[in-house]
Amino acid sequence: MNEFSLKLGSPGKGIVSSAIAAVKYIVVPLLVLTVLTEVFAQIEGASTVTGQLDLERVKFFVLVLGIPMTVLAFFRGFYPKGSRSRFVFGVTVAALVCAWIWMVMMGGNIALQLEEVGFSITYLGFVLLFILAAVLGGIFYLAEMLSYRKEWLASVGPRAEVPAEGAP
Amino acid sequence: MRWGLLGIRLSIVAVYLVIAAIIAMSILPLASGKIQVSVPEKGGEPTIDGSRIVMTIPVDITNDGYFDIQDLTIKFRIADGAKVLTEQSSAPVDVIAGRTNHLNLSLVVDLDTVEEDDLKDLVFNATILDLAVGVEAGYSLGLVKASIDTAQKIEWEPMVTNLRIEADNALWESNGTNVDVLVPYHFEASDFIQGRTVSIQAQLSNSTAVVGTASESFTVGPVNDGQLRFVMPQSTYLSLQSHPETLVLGADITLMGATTHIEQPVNVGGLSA
Repeated sequence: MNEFSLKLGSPGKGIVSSAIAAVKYIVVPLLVLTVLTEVFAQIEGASTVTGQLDLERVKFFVLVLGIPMTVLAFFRGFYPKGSRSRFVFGVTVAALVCAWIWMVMMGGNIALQLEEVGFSITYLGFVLLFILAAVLGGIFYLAEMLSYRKEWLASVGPRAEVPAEGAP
Repeated sequence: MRWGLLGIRLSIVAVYLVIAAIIAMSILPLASGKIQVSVPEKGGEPTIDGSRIVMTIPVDITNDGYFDIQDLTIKFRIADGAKVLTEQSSAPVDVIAGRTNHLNLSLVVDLDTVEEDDLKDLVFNATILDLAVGVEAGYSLGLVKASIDTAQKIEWEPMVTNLRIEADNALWESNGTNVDVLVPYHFEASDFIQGRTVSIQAQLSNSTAVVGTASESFTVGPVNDGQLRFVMPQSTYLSLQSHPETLVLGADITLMGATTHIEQPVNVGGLSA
């Protein structure tokens, strides 16, 4: 049986999963970044900070990684628990979330130069904690597949059983 | 109940809660002014200990936050253009949470470690130096490390000022078989080098040979006036009287291992012993 068959999934659940991902990884971050840009724009002399933080570049990464994550999150929600397809999309989205966190959080390092004063803050520990949570998210989909596998195979009927190697 | 899945979900929630709690506990004390730094007006003046310049900066840091400030370090670097003269950092100290910490941040510059050419600039020459000062520390259980660096130009006053060898005021004295040439010198010294020993090695030369030498060694005071005594054979003196020529006075002045060289013409025409 093809576990990636579109006949196996639920579009409704896919849309919900996709919408949640879009809000988490595109809408809210873009809103925050836009507000930050506006706030900096109204502070006199903060244009240097805005330029060095390069918030436009961060927005670009939010979109470049957020859009594929939203699309893949649809398939993660679309396929049922216990299927390999849900596991594959779940782990792929988790991997993209790790990359998203790294890029959006600027690799855990911000350095600013204001005239004769340089300011640098390294928060790699926080970034790694966020990535740990994302990795746990990926592990969750592995555990979920293993946990629901038998039930799901039983629910789709005997034809879904994977034939043993060498079997006719 | 699928306990494994629940466990992973709870772990994820726990990680986010830990992150949120650490951020809140880090930012709130900073935002509400619970971490304050005060530097007493007195203090920070450099003291001299042998060849070392020691600058102790007393700092009171009140840390009413939840986390220690870890490894607080002050760094500084002095450079003359691209040439780094010295680069030092204070020993890292922790600022314990929940109390006022009295810290003495010490910076030590050991002039023995400065290369001779660089030392010469510091001792004898006025120059514009690049001073870079940085403060760095960790916070939030070490998850955050921040640093602030400033750079500025400073005018360096030499340790030896108004150094003059007054060849124009040279006196010639007959001492029987020879003639002594007395050349006055003058310089002023900063506090840092007073009490040290300076040595002056000098020679008078004509176009072909050395005609007299002088050597002085003494303890440096605030104002230093003296005379270099060159001993010249009578025959050389008489030769110069009959064939006047300009001599060259070359002097090497050595202080703290740094040597500067001065050359001046000495016109012997018309002088009388």
